[in-house]
Amino acid sequence: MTNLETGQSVAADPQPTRYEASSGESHGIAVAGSGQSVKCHAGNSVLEAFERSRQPLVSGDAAVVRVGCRRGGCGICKVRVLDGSYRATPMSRAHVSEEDQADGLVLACCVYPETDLTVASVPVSPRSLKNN
Amino acid sequence: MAMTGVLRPGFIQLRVLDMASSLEHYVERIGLYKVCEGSDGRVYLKARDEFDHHSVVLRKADQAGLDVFAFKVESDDCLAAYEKRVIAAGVAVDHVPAGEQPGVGRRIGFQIPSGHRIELYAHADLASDGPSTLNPDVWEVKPHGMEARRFDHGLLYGPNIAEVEKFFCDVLDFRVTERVDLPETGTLAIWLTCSHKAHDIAFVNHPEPGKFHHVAFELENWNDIGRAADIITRYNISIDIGPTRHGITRGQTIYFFDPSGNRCETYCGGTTFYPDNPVRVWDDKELGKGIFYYERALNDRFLTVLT
Repeated sequence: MTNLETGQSVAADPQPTRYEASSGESHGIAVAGSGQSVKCHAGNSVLEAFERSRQPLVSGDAAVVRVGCRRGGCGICKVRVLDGSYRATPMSRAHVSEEDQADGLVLACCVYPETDLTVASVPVSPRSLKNN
Repeated sequence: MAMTGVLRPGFIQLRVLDMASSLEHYVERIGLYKVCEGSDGRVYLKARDEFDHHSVVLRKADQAGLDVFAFKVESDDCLAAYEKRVIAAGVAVDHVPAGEQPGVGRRIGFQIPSGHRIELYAHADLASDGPSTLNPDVWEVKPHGMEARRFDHGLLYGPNIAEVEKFFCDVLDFRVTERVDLPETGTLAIWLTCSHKAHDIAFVNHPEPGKFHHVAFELENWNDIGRAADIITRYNISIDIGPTRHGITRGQTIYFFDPSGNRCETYCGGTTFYPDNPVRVWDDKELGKGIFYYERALNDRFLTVLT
C-alpha cells in the first residue's frame, strides 16, 4: 500500500482474525495386520477418523469398517479394539452385548480414543447384522 | 367425502438410547414441540401443524428401532369394524386401554406378517396449543429448527411383503400407489396410502422382521429442505443422503439419523393420489432413478442400514 502524500510504501494493518487454531491432542488408530493407521482428532470417534482419513482402509478385500448411522443404532461399523483405552457412548444392545463390549467388540462410531488404539475389522453382513 | 376408515398415520413410538440428545434432535433441530412426559419416562411430541395431542413418542431403551406405528381411524364404530376384519383375516388382536398414552383413546394392536406392531385408534384429544381455527394465522408461535409441519409417513423393512400388501389392501382399505417389482426376485417394495398422499406407509422386503428404515416429517417446500440441510451440517447431525429427490413418490428429501441411529427424513412435495389412478411400477432398469432421481444410483447405506 502507498501513502498518497509522500509516495512511500506503508505496511498494511494485519488482517484481523476471529478464530483460534483448533487445539486438543490427537491419537493414532492402527488397523491390526494392515500396516495402516489414521489420526483421530480430539472429539472424533474412531468411525469419524476413518471417514475423514480419505485412505482406502481395507483388510483383505473388505473395507475395515462400513459407515452406517454413525450413532450406535445400526451395528454396521463393528470393530474389535485390541489395544488402548477409550470412552464409549451408548450403543444398541441388539448389536453389542455388555459382554461383547467388555471384550472390546464395539461400534466404531461410539468409541472415542483416550490413547492410541489398535483395532481389527469385524466384517458385518448387512443382511445378517446379528451375526458377527 | 372420499376419505373414510383409516385416516392417517397418527403416531409413531421409537426407541432411543439417550433421551436428552434425542429431545435436542427432535425438538430443537427437527422443530417438534414437547407435549409432556409420561410417568414411565416416555416423552410425547407433536409437530406445529397437527391438531391432535401428539404424533411422536420416544421411549428410552437399550436398542434403537420401532415399537409401534399407529393409524387414526374416523370413529369408534369404525375401530370396532376393523377389529372384526383383522380377526377374520386370522391375525390376533390385543387391546390397549384409553390413557395408556396421554390424550389417546383405546387402541387395538396386532402384528403384521413383516413382524411390525400396528395399532389403530379413533380418539385423540385436541392439543391444547394446536393450530388456531378462527381466522387462523399460518402459525401461532414462530416455527423453529427445520419447521416440520407434521408426521408424514414411515418406511419399514421385513419379510412376507406380499402378505403385508394383501393385509393392508384387503383388511385396512389401503391402496398401492407405487411399487418396485424385480424380474427375478419379485416385489422389492410397496408404497401404500390410506389417503390422498403418495404414501402413508411403505415396506421393503427384507429377511429380518420388524426393522425400521425411517420416519418422515413434512416440510413446506424445497427452500425449507435446503435450510434443513444447513441445520444438519451446522449441528453435525449424521447425514445419510440429500438434499435430493425420489423418482418414486417424486418427494424432495433429505435423510439423516437421530442420536440413536434411527433414520429421519424431511420430505416435501410428492404426487397426489386418487383411488382410480393406475399403479406406478419400477423395475430393475431404472431403479436407481426411482430411489434417487438426481443421483440415479442405488446407495448401499440407504438400502441396508436399519434399526
